[in-house]
Amino acid sequence: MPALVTAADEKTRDMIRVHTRMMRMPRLIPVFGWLAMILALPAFAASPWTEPSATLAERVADKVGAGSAITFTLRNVSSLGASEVAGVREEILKQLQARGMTVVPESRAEAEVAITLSENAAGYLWIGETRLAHSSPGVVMVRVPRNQPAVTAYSGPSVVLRKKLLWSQPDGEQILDAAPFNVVAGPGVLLLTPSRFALYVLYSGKWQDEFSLPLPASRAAPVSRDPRGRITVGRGFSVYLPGRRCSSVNQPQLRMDCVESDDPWPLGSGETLQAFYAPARNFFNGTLAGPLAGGKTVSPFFSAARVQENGTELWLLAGIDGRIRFFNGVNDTAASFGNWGSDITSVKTGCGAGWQVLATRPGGSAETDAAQAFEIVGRQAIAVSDPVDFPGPVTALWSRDNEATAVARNVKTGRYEAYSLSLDCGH
Amino acid sequence: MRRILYHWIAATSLLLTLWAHAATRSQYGGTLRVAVSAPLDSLDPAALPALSRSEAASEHVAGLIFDTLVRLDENAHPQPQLAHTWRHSDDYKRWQFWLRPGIRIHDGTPLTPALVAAAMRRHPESWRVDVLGEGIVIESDGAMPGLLADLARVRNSIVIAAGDGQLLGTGPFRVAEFQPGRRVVLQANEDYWGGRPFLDAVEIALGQSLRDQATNLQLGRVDVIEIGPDQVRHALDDRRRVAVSSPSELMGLWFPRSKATDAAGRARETRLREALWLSIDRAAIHNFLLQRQGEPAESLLPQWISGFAFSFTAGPNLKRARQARAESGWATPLTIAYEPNDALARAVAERVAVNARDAGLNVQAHALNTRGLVYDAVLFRAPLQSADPQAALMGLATALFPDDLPKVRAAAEPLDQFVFERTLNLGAAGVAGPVVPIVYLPQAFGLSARVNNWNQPRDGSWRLADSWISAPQGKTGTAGDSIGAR
Repeated sequence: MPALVTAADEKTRDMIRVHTRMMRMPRLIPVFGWLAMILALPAFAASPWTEPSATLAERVADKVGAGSAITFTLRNVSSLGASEVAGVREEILKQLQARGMTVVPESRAEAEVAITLSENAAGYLWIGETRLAHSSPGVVMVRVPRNQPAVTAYSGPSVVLRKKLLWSQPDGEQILDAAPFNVVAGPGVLLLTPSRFALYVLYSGKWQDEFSLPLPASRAAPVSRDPRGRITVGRGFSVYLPGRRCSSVNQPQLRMDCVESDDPWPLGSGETLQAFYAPARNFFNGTLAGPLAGGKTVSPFFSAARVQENGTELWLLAGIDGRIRFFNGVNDTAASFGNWGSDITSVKTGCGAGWQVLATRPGGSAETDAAQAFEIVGRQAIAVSDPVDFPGPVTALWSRDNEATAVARNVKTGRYEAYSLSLDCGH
Repeated sequence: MRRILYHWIAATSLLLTLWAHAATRSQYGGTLRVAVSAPLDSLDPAALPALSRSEAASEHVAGLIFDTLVRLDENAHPQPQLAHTWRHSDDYKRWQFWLRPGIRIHDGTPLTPALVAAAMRRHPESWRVDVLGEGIVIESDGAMPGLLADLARVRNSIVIAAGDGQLLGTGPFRVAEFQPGRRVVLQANEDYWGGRPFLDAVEIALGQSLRDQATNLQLGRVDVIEIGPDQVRHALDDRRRVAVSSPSELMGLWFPRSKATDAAGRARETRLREALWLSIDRAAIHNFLLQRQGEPAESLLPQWISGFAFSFTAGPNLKRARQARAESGWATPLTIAYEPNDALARAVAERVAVNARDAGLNVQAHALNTRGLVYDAVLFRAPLQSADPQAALMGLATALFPDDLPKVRAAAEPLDQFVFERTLNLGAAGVAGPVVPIVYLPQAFGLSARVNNWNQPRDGSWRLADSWISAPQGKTGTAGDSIGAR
């Protein structure tokens, strides 16, 4: 897990170190107890199907009588896979047997039990149909919540754009920005969502929230349907949200203080160019600030990427009209290339021209996405890496010196996933 | 060597910049032009036209203007809407809702608990609604375990009656112009609590025939049109953009009244309906008339909503059908009526008549506007209103079998719903069902290349607050895309 290494970060690290130390104490005390429990877990680990299988078996037993000799069939009309169905079958049989029911050939059976694993919009529905020799058929049902699919980490494979999964949200909550942030105890990830700012740290192979600070909703700024936000780490933490800016305060305990603010957002990882964000929209309104801006206003844009041109700063702005424009502090001109997605940023690598632009691919909100590295040579974009794919549209792309953070919404799971993007130019 | 590799990649991958689309992030502005066949005489969600092709479209439009207290997500789980928190008593007879603060009605006035309570009292339910603090309380003499799903139905939207009789909502769009039967213009609600929609406006042309809609889409005059389920395959073959929902509308026969004067007569009618139920070749209707869109229906709710529809598979069974017809003693022709100008309904009605003849039944199909028509059954379309089985059953019961509403209200568990459905299911030897299900229809829409982010919910509704349209020079969709919600 790469760490942020700016000098300014050190104070923040100290702050976190203290905080971490305080948090660690109570966690260390029962460590042996926890270890014992973890070691013992496999012996007690229950299948996720145990509880619903027990309920179903109980209801079947009510219909056919505990201790009955039964025939047993099971069919699957749900989206459960073959291995899951086998697990369910095993668990149901175990639970039936636990209630004295034995599966026998039809000729010796007192009752028929037919189980159907079905499903509706809300979850799985397991249906048991029972039939006794001299009574009408019975039906029993058990609602079974769908399990969350397991989180799968991805690590990308020279000039090579590398992608590394930082964080996958366990629920559907949107990630606005994320950043690797190592603390003494181990690697960590800062996470910004519309409602909270959190630090997760990897302790002994398990992610734990070091802090999760609520961000009070703005009273003045209207809600955006496409919310954006960004984390900056300096003397403390700052987060920029539409119409709000929040800063960390460490006394008496760590918290985020938010103020209604239309302060300009930093566009890169330095402070040379900033831009004012349109709070009720999803773009920068074109008014620029910072040493390079010179009081200039440009066309509204979604995102920006800094590169070098003849030793001076040159910015690329991804306009809301789908066009790329150049801005060098004096004038802005339309690029002759385009057809990029609306999110671009840049990383400083020292290889090639020194800066590479990362651009997303255009596409719809239900499509998978990709990012690719480009160099700007003679104000032309030249692709210098193969694209790296994302499991859904990239919803945020922010730079942090020699790396970038990309957030994508996985179109299969609906979850937001944050990735670190770095460029290996083979030095 | 690495430097050579680097330049080689740089030179060769110049070609890779030829991505053929424009920006991904949603863009604000523009007017989405929609055409629907429903004539829409009113925007009031409590007065939607029942059992007609117009009902679904009316719900879609009302859903853009009005909010409900809660909504159901894709997994049919309740989520906050105007109410951010709720709590119920142990016996489910009392529910307390806390309202989201800072919401404004479309005329700019704050939404208060008193206004919400007054709006709730408009509904014909036997609820007692009172204001309590920053929210409201809903009480009933009977248990209401399924209240949340019920409240999430568009029909139960919070509608504020203004002094001039105008109906105001809090939804993502407000009404700018309404010409009944002709046109609705909606404008973005700048203060919408869920965030201002990306679109500036939505113009909806009403009462447009499907043929005119298709022509106007091809000529670039509209962005969104309806497509009959039977035309989806053809549209995809023509590489048009199509969005298709899960089966979200029930088409069936409804016998609105009994002509029998005694129990024996009613028994004969039931046997007649059973004969008709068992004679219908739903697979053929699904395969040929619907071009395999939607699903054959032998129960009130489709499998994706109930989870137990698979267990109702009885027909066709001509032997049982003939036996039931003979036992009914029915000799006179049976007349079924279908909605005029609904070509699919006509085709299905005629097919039903052909199937019925195979079972010895004399069935005649006529348009509802046929002069002097006296009919025995109506071929209806009913939107399934909710992904929650109980709420969906409640919607059907309200229109088709209102006497059974109390039973549906009590059927909170899947087994209760199954038992209820079975009692009405003549294919499963039910006792007195007034409805003969035939097919579940999906909602299908044709989209112009300008439309982005049309996320088609499974229930067929519109989520236009999240949609946006491309600038003229920008990217649009890929021809032949099918946006599914199966």
